[in-house]
Amino acid sequence: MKQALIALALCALLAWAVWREPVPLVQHREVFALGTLLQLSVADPLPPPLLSKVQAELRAFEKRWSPQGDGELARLNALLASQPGAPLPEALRAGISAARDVCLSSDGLFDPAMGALVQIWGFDDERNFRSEPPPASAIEQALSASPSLCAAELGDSIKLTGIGARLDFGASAKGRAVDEIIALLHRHGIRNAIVNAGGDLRAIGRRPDRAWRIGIRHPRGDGPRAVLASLDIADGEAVFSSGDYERYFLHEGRRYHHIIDPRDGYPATGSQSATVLHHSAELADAAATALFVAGPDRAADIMQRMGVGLWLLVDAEGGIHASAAMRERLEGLP
Amino acid sequence: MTRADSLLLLLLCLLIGALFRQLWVSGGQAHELHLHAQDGTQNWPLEPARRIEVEGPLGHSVIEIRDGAARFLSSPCRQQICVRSGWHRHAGAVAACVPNRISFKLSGGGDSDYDGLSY
Amino acid sequence: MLAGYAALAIVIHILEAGLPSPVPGIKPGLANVITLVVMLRHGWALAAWVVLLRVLVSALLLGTFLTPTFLLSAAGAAASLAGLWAVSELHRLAGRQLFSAYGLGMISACLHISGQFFVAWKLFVPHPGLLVLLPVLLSASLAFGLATAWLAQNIVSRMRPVPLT
Repeated sequence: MKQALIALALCALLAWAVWREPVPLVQHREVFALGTLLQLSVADPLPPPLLSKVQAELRAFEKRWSPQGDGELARLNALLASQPGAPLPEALRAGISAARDVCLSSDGLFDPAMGALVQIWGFDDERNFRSEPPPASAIEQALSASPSLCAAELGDSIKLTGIGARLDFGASAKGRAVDEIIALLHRHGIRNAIVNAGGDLRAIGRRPDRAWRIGIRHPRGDGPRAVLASLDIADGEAVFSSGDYERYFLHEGRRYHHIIDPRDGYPATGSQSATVLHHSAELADAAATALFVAGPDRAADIMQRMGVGLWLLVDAEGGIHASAAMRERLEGLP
Repeated sequence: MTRADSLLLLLLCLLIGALFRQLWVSGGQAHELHLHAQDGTQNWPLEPARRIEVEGPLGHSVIEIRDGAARFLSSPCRQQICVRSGWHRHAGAVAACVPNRISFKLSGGGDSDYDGLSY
Repeated sequence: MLAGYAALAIVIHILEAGLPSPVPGIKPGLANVITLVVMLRHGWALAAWVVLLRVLVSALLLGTFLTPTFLLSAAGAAASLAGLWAVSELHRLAGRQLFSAYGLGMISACLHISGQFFVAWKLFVPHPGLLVLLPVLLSASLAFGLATAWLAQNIVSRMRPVPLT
């Protein structure tokens, strides 16, 4: 009789284990930040106070790096509008120095001092969004009046080759922010998470059951064909993509998107999307922009100069280019 | 039928049940939509087809559900990034109209194919 | 006597092979009734012989020897026999029959289909989607296992007791 009861208890336990609602392996939280929807996917316990800390850090970051307003960068820009040089706030030094180095290694394809150009194209702010290209004369003027960050001297202060520079780190700020949030999570004991800022992401650790798996969106795909390829990412890897399919307007049958070529002041032609894999989100962000602008002809060269070994480019005709190392990592690539 | 037989039968039934539950939950295909707006969250099934109007600081956004997928049909924002992101079908997919402070997320019965999308 | 049982098993197997099955991969496995009867009356060793002969000779007669079908059949038989061997050892150690024909029937049927599935999955159709079939196959084999056990039990109870020599 006792045996029967024990057996029954064991069966009940087994039944409960089998039929209860599975505990989610990964928790997801979404916040609006960095001009997009930022998603945190965490496989470790995520205490609510930590989420608040993340949001506070994001607010501080946005203020610090916003080209206008009353943050550090905005005040620096106000000075640089009429002077070639100004003192560099402590909080901006590391970021600007890193950006200058990337400017050089990208051969000027990534140039955050082109803020004036970004501004006249109107992609930086919802309110300035355009429906037709700015007049050619305005583009010419913005182009000639902007000194390049590549030639800047940095230290306690910044010295550029001319006045009128407007620093806009839109092409690398998300990456920097993602790196900072990852570091914040790490400091608080999180070892397995993804920080995804509207399609630009970095991961640490892995899921309990497998590695983090990322899909790369097809620039022209929708619905069932939305994903171009997928890959498993390793601890600390970032995946950043630049594309012409999110921020753009159509005018007289032509697409004008937000990735401006610093060489001619117009949206870069030649690419539909560019994706970079790297352990530094800040570099991956800048590199994805540079790769997009470089186009299929200069892609391999520029990526090598920037120290990026894993990259993928879809050109204007839909042709796929990728480094050999990246092809090995990707699954499902046509 | 001995006691051992009965026990074995029960265990096998449980095992088969567990396998059904584990293997038959469709991975990837989402079942539910979670819509976040400033005044709260709404949950909607992905069947049958419907349109949902949500209010944000800029005005009305309309979410469309059809054939187990969801999209922003219209939104008062200028860049229309949300609308351009098209149909979303996979469990774990997210879409948002940032200026209008509206987002939705799809959740599914099983494991999503991807833990994140890069775009 | 072995030959008699084996011949019976072979005939049943071949007849069953001729019948269309509503779902591919699921057959009642009526030849297994013979396996169970032999196991209950004469022990595992003889049952193993009967199974071996049935699998080999049927394959030769049906022309499926050394084909994928044969491999599946052999895998299923091997798994099934392994399970029955384990039970017979358990009974020997325990000194009594813990499982009746029904237990044997369930074990041999479920292991048979599992062995076949494993080989099919690993060697022929590595697609992970195949896994969804497993619980369906197991349910069917569980039911058929109980059915063949019922038949075996009824047959055994109507036979003369085994002579002691």
